[in-house]
Amino acid sequence: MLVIASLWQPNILSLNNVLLVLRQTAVSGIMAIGVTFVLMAGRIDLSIGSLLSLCTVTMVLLHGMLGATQAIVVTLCIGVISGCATGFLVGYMRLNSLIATLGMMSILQGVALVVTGGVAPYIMSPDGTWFKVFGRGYVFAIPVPVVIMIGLGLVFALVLNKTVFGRRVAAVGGGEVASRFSAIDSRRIIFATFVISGALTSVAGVVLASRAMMAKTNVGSGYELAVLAGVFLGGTSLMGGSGGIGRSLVGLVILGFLTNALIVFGAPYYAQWITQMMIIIAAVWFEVASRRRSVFA
Amino acid sequence: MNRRQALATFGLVTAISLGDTWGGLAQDLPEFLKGHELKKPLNQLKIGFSALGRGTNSYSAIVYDIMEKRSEELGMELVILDGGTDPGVQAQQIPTMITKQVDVAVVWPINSGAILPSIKLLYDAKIPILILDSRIPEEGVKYTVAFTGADHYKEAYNTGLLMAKALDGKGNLLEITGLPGYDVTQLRIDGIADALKQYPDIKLLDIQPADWSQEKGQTLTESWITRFGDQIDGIVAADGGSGAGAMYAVRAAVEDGRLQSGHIKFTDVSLFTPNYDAILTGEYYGGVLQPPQTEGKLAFENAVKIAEGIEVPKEILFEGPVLTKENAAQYERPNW
Amino acid sequence: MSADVKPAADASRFRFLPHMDSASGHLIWAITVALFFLFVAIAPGFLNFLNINSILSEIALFGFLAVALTPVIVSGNIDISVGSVLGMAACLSIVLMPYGIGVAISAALGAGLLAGFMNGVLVEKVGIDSFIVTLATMIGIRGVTFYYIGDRSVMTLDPVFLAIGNSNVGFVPVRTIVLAIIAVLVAWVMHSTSHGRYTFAIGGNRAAAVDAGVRVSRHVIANMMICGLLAAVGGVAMAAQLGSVTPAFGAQYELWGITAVVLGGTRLRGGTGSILGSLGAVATLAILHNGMVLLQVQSFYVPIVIGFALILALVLDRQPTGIVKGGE
Repeated sequence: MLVIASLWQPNILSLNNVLLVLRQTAVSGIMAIGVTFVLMAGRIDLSIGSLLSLCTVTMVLLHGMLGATQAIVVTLCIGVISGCATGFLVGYMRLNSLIATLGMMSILQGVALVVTGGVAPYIMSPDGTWFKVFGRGYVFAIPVPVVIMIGLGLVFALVLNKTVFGRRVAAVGGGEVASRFSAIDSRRIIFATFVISGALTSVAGVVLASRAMMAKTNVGSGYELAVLAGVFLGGTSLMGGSGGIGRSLVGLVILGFLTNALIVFGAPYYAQWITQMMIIIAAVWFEVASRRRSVFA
Repeated sequence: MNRRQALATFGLVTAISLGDTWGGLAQDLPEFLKGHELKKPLNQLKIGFSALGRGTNSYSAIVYDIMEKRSEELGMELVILDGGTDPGVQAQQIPTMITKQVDVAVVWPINSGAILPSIKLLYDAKIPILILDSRIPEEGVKYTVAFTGADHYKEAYNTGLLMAKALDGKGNLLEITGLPGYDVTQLRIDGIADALKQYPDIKLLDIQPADWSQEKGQTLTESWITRFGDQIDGIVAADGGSGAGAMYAVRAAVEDGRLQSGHIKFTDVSLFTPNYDAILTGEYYGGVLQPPQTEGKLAFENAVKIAEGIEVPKEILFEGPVLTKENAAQYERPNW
Repeated sequence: MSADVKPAADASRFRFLPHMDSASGHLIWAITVALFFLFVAIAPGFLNFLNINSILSEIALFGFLAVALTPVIVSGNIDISVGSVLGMAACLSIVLMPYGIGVAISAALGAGLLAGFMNGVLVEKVGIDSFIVTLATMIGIRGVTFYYIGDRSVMTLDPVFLAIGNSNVGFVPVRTIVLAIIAVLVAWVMHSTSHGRYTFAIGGNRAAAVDAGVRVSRHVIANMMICGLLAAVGGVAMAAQLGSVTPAFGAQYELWGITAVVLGGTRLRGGTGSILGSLGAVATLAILHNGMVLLQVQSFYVPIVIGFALILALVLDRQPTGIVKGGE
């Protein structure tokens, strides 16, 4: 159930603009891949925004201290560790994911603040480092972040749709009782989805750090809801068990194009929000209505 | 301060008072207090500090750091009340200053109108008030002792004038504003607007917020470039962060060949590190340098003076200098 | 959201004096009291008149949202637009003050009711999950508020309005008293009216409720409207205290409202819960926050402490069995 937005301003369809919008949504897009897994398993992850802040900040701070390569490794580790922690809480301890990840969100943001002392770190001499390729480089004229987003999207879509693991994730989300009868260890599956979410968020952090060459301590604030909005727009259900990476990415890209179009048309910022609301509702309505084959419930 | 610091301070105080008793040490007055009579020994002072969140941006973080460092140096107790970005939380925290019986209250209002009831509360509790950074409405001023801070309006006005100069009085301009709904944002919009009123040939193509964020400034400018392309002559930003983002967006477009190099002029109301560097290279036209260190220093010193009953001017304003390529090198590079 | 079967017949057990359905209702007040005494012991000035007033004031800050959200969550839904509704109501009440205090407050409350109605209809008649609906309306209502108010702060100096917001009865702020009265009212509705009983039933097992002939939509929409209304009351109360707000006011408050409700023992899956529990959680959070400020805990550590406290509370509240209860 893909919602296709119609764009009609000439410049918007130019290759440049399309690539631009894709690059702008890449960070959220990468995060969306991870979140889709969590949602498919019937859970939610609100901590991704704060985790993004922490990872981006870590990346920038450590770039100066350890050099780009090691900094990237550490940042990815942080994402994985955070994912493990959250996954443990929700998967093994069976805590409610909304509240548990809300708690993690607070903790991670606090850590980001403590680590930086509130002062935004910068990468010195941004042009002198190879690190810039993540945020600013191009591969055959396609921006690197987009390549990363699409690449990871393809890989994980394969995992979700074609591997046993992926099918189990959907099973866990679709109905835990049924999956328990078939002896799937739902705890481990849920744990894994959070680790994926954390890892991908850390990748997004690396890309963001590269693009901005600095990190405001609360840079990730708000991302969790923006990513979720896009994922829901794309048709992944909150119930778990249905959805897909491709659709999530499409949902995010649509929101990205929407914002872009509104700016290009010169609409004031609040118009963006109001339009977002209407599009999300319209799109999900369409999706839900076609599934039950009736306009109204 | 935490327990260890409190203990250390206690030890220091004891040492000094013992020294005094034996006719040894005379406590040396810091520079800004020289020549004044002290009502109360410095190390017995309690300063209350209720401000915009420490984690909001580097600027506020530095102001907090300065307040902490300097009060620690002089052995005073600093009561910190971090209101985040929520005026409701700030209002609810202010009574703690009264509970702790501070000698002076330094208040950095998150919302200048919303702080009024709290100001009245402090006044009724006989605590002198120093307002920092964001002016409060006329009705409340009589309850306060003084105001210190950057003149946001004036600085924005100067930035507007600077942009007009950069554009030679005519051209197409884009404006990036701060976080919608905050006083500083509005003041900067007004300042720039009033400056540009004198230049009817400067056309404002669009005005959008970037929430003080570099990333958003970059995204916004990229979209603008799609829309306006080479019609853009200048971009003025409400802060250095979003200004830097705009600069990066244009830089990328120039590299792609979509924009002419060096054509667009940039200015902003509060320079950060990358903007400063770019002024030196010429990529950035100029802007106002508003060091949080100045604000912190003025806040601390005047607070101490007020606590000691020393008279201070009702308004202690500072206006950041306007930097351009000609004079930038004379100023210290910003580390925020 | 999988749930265990809870026949509508169970609803008759609920009476006015909250027969606490979940032990957490008791637990949270025990924690509240414990924390209170802890801080009396270690934080100088905690027991001060002004400080208690301050804590009660903070309770009023989030309390309205917690009370507003409880019925919604009990019925198995959620409303994350409450922060935006609170902000909208706060702005409306101030900006319309020149038309008279009655008009201003009514308009603000009416807007809240309308928002609740919109949420309810979208959930029940269009059939979209409440999280998604209220995520969208959260964004949209904020947008409408900015559209109507513009990019500025709005202020009023109306003495009556400000008096309501700032006066105290003894050491209790008037707003908190209003909150208490409303909480009692809502609790009464939840436990002594058929609407309340059906709400529990719908949350417990929606399908069973439908089969039993309950007009589910009607009740869900009603709860959403109550939620919007009470969020608006919260907004007006804050506006009355501060006298000045910006369209950005109230952002993120919904998260703390939900936190309080869940900490107070109401399950996100619905079917159980209590207003008393929600209020207890609000009190706990307020005391915790206040205590940390008094102890001068550095502000960066506060979210970390609160995050851990939240998770700890969840851990303590877990069902002892291995049955799936912790999921969505």
